Amino acid sequence: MDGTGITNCIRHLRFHQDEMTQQELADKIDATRQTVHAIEAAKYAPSLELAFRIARAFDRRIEDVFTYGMAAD
Amino acid sequence: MSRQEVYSWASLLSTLAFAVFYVAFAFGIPSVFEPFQENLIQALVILIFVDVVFQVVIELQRYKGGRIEKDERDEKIEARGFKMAYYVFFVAVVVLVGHLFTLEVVESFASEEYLELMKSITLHYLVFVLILGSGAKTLTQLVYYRRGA
Repeated sequence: MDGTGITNCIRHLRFHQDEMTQQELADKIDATRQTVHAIEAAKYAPSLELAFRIARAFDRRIEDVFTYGMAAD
Repeated sequence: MSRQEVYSWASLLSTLAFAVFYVAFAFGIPSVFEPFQENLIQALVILIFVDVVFQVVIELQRYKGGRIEKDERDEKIEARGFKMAYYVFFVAVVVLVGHLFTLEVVESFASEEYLELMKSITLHYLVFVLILGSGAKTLTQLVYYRRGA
């Protein structure tokens, strides 16, 4: 639940995707806005399936979005 | 605040209302509150009414909007809540088994009044364990929601 060690660049990707809101991303990946917020803040580590859905929403590979053990941005 | 968090708050409110209601009717209202007895009962009834309305509104909202209500994070947080409730129930069952065992031992030489008292205590104990388990579950959920984890 801590999401330790997993960082991501979702905020950056949202910004470059016509400033997509957290809610818009949440709707795309079948999650709640609060979960998107928690993932972005690295407070929650998503499941592999959700991580794939997020990567797919940005048309990226999973390793382009999530990084383990080092800062993504 | 997510829908699930709102639901957790409503659930905690229900548990507290039920606990107060049970204590008031099982043991009587404390003498300090006796002058306000009528107001207390009114407040309790209003609290229960608000809680019921709140939960009905939440359920009705569920069918509107088309947005997802509960995702994997909510389920994980709920699982943590259930885990905490399990610990509470486990300890409670161990204590109850010990109590029943002791009762079995003293049954032969204890007075009838004492045994009757022990039976009623067991009933109250079970109700409190139910309230405590339910409260532990919702409190754990709320802690995780508040922490944003």
